[in-house]
Parts: sequence; structure tokens; C-alpha cells
Amino acid sequence: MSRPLIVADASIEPTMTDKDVLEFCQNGFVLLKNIVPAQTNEKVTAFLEEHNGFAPSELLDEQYFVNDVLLNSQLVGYIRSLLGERFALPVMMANHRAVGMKKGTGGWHQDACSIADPPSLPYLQVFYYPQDVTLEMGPTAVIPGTHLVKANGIGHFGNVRSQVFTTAPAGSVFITAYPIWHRATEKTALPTRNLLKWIYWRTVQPARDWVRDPEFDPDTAEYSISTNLSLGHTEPIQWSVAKLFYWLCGRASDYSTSGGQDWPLVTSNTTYPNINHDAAKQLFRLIRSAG
Amino acid sequence: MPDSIVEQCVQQWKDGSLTEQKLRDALEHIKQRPVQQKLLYLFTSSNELTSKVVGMSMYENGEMSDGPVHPDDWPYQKVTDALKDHWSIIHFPRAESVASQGQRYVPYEFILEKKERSESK
Repeated sequence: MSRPLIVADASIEPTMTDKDVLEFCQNGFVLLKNIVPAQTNEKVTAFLEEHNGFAPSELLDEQYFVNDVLLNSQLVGYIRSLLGERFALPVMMANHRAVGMKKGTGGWHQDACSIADPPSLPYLQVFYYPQDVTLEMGPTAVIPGTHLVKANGIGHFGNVRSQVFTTAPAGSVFITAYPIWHRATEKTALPTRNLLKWIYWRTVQPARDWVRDPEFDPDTAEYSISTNLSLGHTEPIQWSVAKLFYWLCGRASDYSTSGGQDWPLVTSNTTYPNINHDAAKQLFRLIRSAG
Repeated sequence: MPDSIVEQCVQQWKDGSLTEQKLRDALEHIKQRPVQQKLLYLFTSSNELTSKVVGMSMYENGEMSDGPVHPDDWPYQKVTDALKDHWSIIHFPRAESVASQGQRYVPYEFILEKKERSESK
């Protein structure tokens, strides 16, 4: 029997700013530490002892879980910002449950049917730790920026320079862009580690309806990745970041670049002033007509 | 790590018990030891030998290893560092076409090998 689709209330307000959304576009994930109450974490952990399979979707019928986790007041502000109003709640739940020690790491991968390019954000994959997760508990590792890059043959990577381990206290949630490269890491501690994951879905067209910074200008913002995605990729990464940000603003069709010293430039390491997007388009028209 | 058979021969020479036959037997034993291949995967930021290593993994003694977690503890920071340590490249990253196929991963990966004779039991 399929689960009915539940849509979040339209009154939920976004809490991310332009800068926060841009940072999400650059990194592909954000970690919210310790936002679920301790009592809820304990109830969830006890529930998962009784429902210890890979897909404990019965958890979606528990009102405390819906209220304190899925519609957590801090979490929904982020979800609303990234997916727009009336986002849909998950229809199933998965648990990456690790009992005892687990030798070795999982292979790096991008989840099935990921579309990293052209970038878009029709849904978010969210992970929740109901218990403390230290390095010894086998946290998921992610590589910031890789949500924008189509992967092929990455399973054999070992440790990577820009990897981030999602170590976090109980009650932490991390929101990811679905295509982000990630893997399981070795678990040397004995206690059971639950890692619940689910998907929120977009139901409206994207628009720049999060909290606007008065001084933020999408045409001159810094789109490069601060963590310096050093793995090889075919196009300048700031192009992909800008494409995703423009998509989220509902301006995907406005994105264009003529390459070279055109927008979106990396402004921090160039001697040339960043060229405004509209100015760049005018210049491009001039060059074409002169040609 | 000192070769135990060689150390044995040195000790025998010191105490006067080393003979030609014992030396020939020792050399024959060393020649018959299996050669083990170690593999080193170095993921880099470009296809230049001097480019920075941005990821690694290793195969030795029958097991895969991810290497140390922290990049500062990795055995090599550039491919040339591994070459200086007597690794040999068996796979070079291939040049990619510049035709646009969207944003995708370019595998700048060097695979290196070292062959060593295993220690005798």
C-alpha cells in the first residue's frame, strides 16, 4: 500500500540567506548539529532496536518523529529555503545501521540515477544521527563540491584531500544535494550506529524566495569553491556553482558565459575587475556583431 | 628490514662456519622467493608528474589500504616523490577531449608499482 504524499504547510518561513544558499551550491551539503531533542533521539534509537531492518518506514507513522525530526523547526527553515514552499515529506525511510565493528570503508560513489549536470535541486537527501557519531563510529564521508560533477570510476579512491567526515553529536542532521560523492567509513567502535536517511521533494518552481541579503548581488557574487575541488573536472567549477544558484533563483535561462575573462570569474585571484553579467552579455553581442 | 638469510650468512662468516655451498644455497633460496607486486594509486590535480596528490590508495600484502587519513601524513605529495622512492609508473592519465560533455570527473590517476621479494619464513 503506498503512503499518501504529505506536503509541508505553506506558513513555514525560509531561514537561509543568499550567502547560505550560495554556500550550499558550492559545497553540496550543510551540517546542522544537535538540533533534535535528546529525548527524541532516545525514542528513535529504541524504535530502531525493534525495527532494525534497512527500511523502517513505520517511523513515518510516529507523530513525535514527524514533529521533532521531519518538521524540526530548525531543519524546515533550511528545507523551505532550498526547495521552496509546500515541500513534500518523505514517503519512505532508510537506515544504514552498523552493528559492532565494521572493517574497511565503502567505495566512493554517487547515488543511483544522480544528475549532477546540468545542476538542479528537485529534492534533498537528508541524513540524521540519533546517537553521537565520532570518527570511530564510522561517519559518512563526503567530498564538498562533487554534487556538481558526474562521477565515473571513483570506487577505488582511498583518502581524499578535501574529504569531510560527518562526525556530529546525537540529534544532528546533514542536508545534501543528492549527487554528492560519499562513502561509508571504517567503524572501530562497538556501539550500534544508526544513520537514517530520507528525501524531501520540491513541489513548486524555484524562485529566490529565501532571506535576501541587501548587499548580495548574484551578478558579482563569488562562485568558486572555497575548499578548492582539486579532483580533475572538465569545466571551471564556478560555472556549475553559478548555474545551480541561477536555477534556484528561477533564472536558469539567464545563465550564460562566453568563457575567458567573462562572468562568472573567480574574483579573488584575478587582476581584472569582475565583469557584471549584463555587461558581459553586452560585450559578447558587440564582439559577435564586430566579427 | 634486514634480510634474514643475508644476516644468517653474515653471522656464519663471522663465526667461520660459512662455506661456498652454504652461500650458494642461500642465494638459490633468495632467487626462489616469490616476487610480490605492490600497487600505489595516486590521484592528482592534473596529468603533470609534479602536480599535487589529492587522493591515494594502495595495494600491498594482499590488502587494499586507503592510506593515512590526513594528507600531511601521506607517503608522497607529488608523483615525482614516489618515483624518487623507486616506484614505477604503469599507468598514465589519459588526455581528455576538450569537447564539452558537461561537468564531469576527469581521472587524473597515476598507477605505480613496486616489486619486492617476500621475506623468507
